[in-house]
Amino acid sequence: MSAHPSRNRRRILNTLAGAAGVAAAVGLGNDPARAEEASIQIANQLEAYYDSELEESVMDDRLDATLSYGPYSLGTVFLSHSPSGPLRVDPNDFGEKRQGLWRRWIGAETEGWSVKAGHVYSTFGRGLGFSVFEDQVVDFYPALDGFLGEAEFGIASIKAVAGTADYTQTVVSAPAYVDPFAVRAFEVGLKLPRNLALGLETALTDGNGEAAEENPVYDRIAGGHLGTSLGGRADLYGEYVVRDANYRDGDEGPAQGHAGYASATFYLGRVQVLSEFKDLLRYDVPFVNAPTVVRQHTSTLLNRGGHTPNIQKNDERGGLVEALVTVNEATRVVGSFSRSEARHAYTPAREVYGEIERWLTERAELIVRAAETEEVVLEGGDEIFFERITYGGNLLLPLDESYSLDLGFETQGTQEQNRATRDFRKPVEFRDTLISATLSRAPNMSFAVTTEWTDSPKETDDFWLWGEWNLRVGSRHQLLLGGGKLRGGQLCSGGVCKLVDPFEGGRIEFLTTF
Amino acid sequence: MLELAIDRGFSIGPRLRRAASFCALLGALLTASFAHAAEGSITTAPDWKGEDLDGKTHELKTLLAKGPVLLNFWATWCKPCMQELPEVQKLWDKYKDQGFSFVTVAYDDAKSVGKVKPLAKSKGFRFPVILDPEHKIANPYSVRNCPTSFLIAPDGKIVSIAQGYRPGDEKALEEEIVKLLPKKS
Repeated sequence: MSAHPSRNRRRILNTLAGAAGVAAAVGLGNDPARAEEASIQIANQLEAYYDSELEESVMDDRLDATLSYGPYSLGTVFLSHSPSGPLRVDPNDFGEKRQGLWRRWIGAETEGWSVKAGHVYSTFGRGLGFSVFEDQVVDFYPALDGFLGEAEFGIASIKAVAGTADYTQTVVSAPAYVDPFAVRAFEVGLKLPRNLALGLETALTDGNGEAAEENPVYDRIAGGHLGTSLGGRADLYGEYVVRDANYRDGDEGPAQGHAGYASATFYLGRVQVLSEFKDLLRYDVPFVNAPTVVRQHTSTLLNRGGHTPNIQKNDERGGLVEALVTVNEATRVVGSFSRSEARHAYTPAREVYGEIERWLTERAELIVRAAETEEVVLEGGDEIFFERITYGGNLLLPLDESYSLDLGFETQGTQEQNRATRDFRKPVEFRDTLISATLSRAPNMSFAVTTEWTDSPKETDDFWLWGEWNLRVGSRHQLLLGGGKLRGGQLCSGGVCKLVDPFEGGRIEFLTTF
Repeated sequence: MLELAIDRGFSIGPRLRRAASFCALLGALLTASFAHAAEGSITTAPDWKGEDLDGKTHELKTLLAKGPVLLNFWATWCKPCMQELPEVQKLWDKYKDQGFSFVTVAYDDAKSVGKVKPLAKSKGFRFPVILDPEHKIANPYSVRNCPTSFLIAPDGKIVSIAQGYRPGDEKALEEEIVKLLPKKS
C-alpha cells in the first residue's frame, strides 16, 4: 500500500509505455477506411463580465481545438482567464489569473481499440466506482492527467485508466482528499446471453503529495454491475461497490464504506415507470459521482431549493419512483416521488412532483407543475426543517411563423424551522417568485427578461431584474448580451452543485464553432 | 480611441472607463463575428458509430451514403430540446424516404442515462437516440450546450450548426435540408 510519489509516477509511465506498445501491436493507423480522413474542429467561447457594484471585470476565453487524421487525434483546450481584481468577479470559478494550455491529449482509435494519453475522462457503470467528467454548467473540471485505454474482444471489453489529479484545485465543492492523488482504475465488461451485461470494476487511489511521504494514504474501491433488458418491457440495472480507505474527510481515520444503486424501468404502453434506489455509506470519494436518485429540475426555484446539494454521501439511502403517462397525443402527465434518509442522523428528505404538459394547438404548449419538498438539514448541529411548496408553469405561444413568446412563472413558499431551539413554534416563512418572458424571432434572435422577488428576511435585496439578448450570427456564431441584477444561489447539474454569487452588471458571451 | 482620450486627461472615472472598455469589446466582437459569418467556413464532420436505444447500430458514413444527416445533441433536462425534437421529427417523417437521416445523441451522463429511454418513449420519439454518457461523440464536435444540431452534407462537410432553439427554426432548417437532398434522376 505504499504511495511514494516517484513510485506512482513510475507506475503511470509504465502504463503509458504499455499503452503505446499495445497501440503498435494492434496496428493503429492501418485502417484503410479512415486513413485519408482529416478534420479540424475548433470552438471558442468568450465571456466577459463587468460587475457595476464591485467595479471589476473578468474576461474568460476557452478555445477547444481537435485535430483528427485517420485514426489519430490531438485535442487541446486553451484558457485565458483575466480578472481585473482579486477574484471578486469570477463566475466561471477559474480562480487566479491564468493563460495558456489548460487541457491536452493525444489519442488513436481503430475498430475495437482506442488509447488516449493526456487529460482523460471516463466513467464505469453509473459512476459508483469511478467517474471523471466535466460539467460546464456548474464549472466542474476535474480531468485526470494520464492514460485511458479501451478494447473490445467479441463479448468482452476492457477499460483501463491511470493518472494523477490535484482535486484540491479543480473541484469546486470541498472534496474528501486534501492532497494530489494517483489513480489506477480498471473495468472488465461481458455481454452475456439474454441481454445481460456484466461489469467488474476497481479503482485504486494512492496519495501522491508531500503529506503522503509522512502518512501514506490509500483508497480502494471494487465492485460490479449487472444490467439487462427484458424484451422491450423492462430494463433492470444494479451496481454495488465496496470501499476500503485509510483516509476520509481529513484525518478521521480508516473507513470501510459501500455504495449501491439499482434501477428498474418498465414500459407499459402509454405508461413508463422509472424506479431507482441508492445506498451510500462512508462514500464521499472524489473520483466518484453516483446517481442522485433525486429529480433534476430545470426550473430555477425547484433546482435551487432541491435536496441534491444536501445529499450526505457518507450516510444516505433512498429511492425515487417516476411515472410518465401519455394520456393522448396532446397531453402528457409526469408524477414523481423521492425519499431519502440517513442511518445515523435525522436528516429525512422527500419530494412530490407533478407536471402536466398540454399542446393547445400544433405549436402552442402549456406546462404546469407543482412540487412539495420537505427535508431536515444539519446546520452547526441544529436540525433545520424546510418545507417548500412550489407552483409554476410555462406557456409557449407562437405569434406568427417567425415570432413566438415563451412565458414562465414560478412561485415557492418556504417554511423554515429550527427544531433544536424549538423555534418551530415561530417558523420563518417567505415566498420567492420568478417571472420570465422570452420573445424569439426564428431563426436568429431572442430577447429574455427575468424578474424575481422575495420577502425572505435573510436577503439584503428583494428584487432582481435581468435582460438578455441572444443573436445567432451566421450558422456558427452566437452572441449573448446580458445586463441587470442576478440573485445567484444554489445551482445543480448532474448531481454536482455550485453556489452562484449574486451579480450586478453586464455580461457578453460570444460562442463560435469554426 | 477611447483609451487614447482617457490617457490625454479627460476626466472619466474608473467606473465609466471600465464600462467603456466593455462596450469597446462588444464592438470588436460584433465586427469580427459579422466578418467571419460573411466568409463562411466548412469543416468535415468527425465520424462516429453508436447504438440506439433499440440496439441498432448507426454510423455516420453509412448514413451519408444515403443523403444529408442532421445530428442533434439533446438532454433529458433540456427544455428547448423538448420543444425542438417533435418539430424536427416532423421534418424527418417528411424527408426520410428521400435519404434524409435524423439521428440524435442524448448528452446525459452516466447518472441520468437511465432516464433517456422512458422519456423518449413517453414523448413519442421515433428517430434514433444514441446514448453518449462519456461524450465520445459530442466532444469531437465541441458541443457546448443543448440543443446543438449539425447539418451534414452527403460529402461529410458540416453545412450549418444551430445552437439553441427558437420556435420556427425548423422552417430555415427545412430549406437547408431540401437543398442537400439527392436529386431525383
